Amino acid sequence: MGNNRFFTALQRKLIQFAAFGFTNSHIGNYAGGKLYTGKFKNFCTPGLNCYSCPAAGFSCPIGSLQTVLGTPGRNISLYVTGIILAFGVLFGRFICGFLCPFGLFQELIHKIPVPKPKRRLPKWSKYIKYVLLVAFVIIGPLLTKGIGAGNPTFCEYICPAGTLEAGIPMLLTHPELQTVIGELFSLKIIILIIVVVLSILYYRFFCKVLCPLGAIYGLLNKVSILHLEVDKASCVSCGRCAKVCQMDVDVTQNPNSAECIRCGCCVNECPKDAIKITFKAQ
Amino acid sequence: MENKKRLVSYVLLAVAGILIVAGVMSNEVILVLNKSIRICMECIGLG
Repeated sequence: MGNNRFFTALQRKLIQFAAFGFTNSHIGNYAGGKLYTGKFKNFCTPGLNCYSCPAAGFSCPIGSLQTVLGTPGRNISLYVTGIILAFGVLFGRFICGFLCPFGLFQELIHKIPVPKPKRRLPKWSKYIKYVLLVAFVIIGPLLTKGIGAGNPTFCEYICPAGTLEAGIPMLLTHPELQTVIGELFSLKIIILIIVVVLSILYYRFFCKVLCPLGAIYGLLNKVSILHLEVDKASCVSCGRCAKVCQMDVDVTQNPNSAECIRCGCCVNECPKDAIKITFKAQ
Repeated sequence: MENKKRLVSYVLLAVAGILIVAGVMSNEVILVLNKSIRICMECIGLG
């Protein structure tokens, strides 16, 4: 290994835990199943984190986007789009790799020692998240909008983060809510179980296949100011970077792939210091 | 090519700033806050 270093695996994990704690700092709210209602909920967190989680200190960008789109009289969300765009242009999917609480959760459960499949997920599966973004995050709230507010359809029918971080804790602390559990909750629990099982088997299954926020940041990876560069002159095509990448990216072919979460594993693995992550406009 | 990408990054960042300011001025922040301080029944699978 060369001298060119990004964050080590331990440093990255510490940053992930710090981001998790910062995003979910109201731990005491779990006891009574209350929500934080302060002014910081005006702001969206960069990662996927349900605002109905008792510990959440900020709003979820995907939930907020759907809320505004589903509000009568509004067909575009300026504020939330601006926030997501700003985070994405500055950092791209570095947010997924370092700041997303649900990303950390998936990494932790992937460490459960069970035999992992040797075969990678099919290439087409990575496009599912773009379909979900358009169909459930954008079109769904707009179409369900009538006289009243539209539904946040991604949160309602799919989001496993909401079920895990908010649904289960809220049901445990609010007995009155347990009386209204129906088919929708069963569907969401099934989706959560599927995502958990597949995330144990496949590294960051939800990020690779289902996350609409990852889809947006992935598109912005191409132009993000924090980006990855490969020095073709130094590269000896040893293939170690592609082998170490758990997001199935070959950085020598596509350094700013929409799938790259900027974890830095390839940078640290490269024996020739041919890969670096820099923070300047591309 | 490099200059073009750099320009796109800065233009998008400027657009993001304008969108945020426009959103704040159109009271979008209130919508975000009002949704996030109440239990979202859809989010928890009861909506």
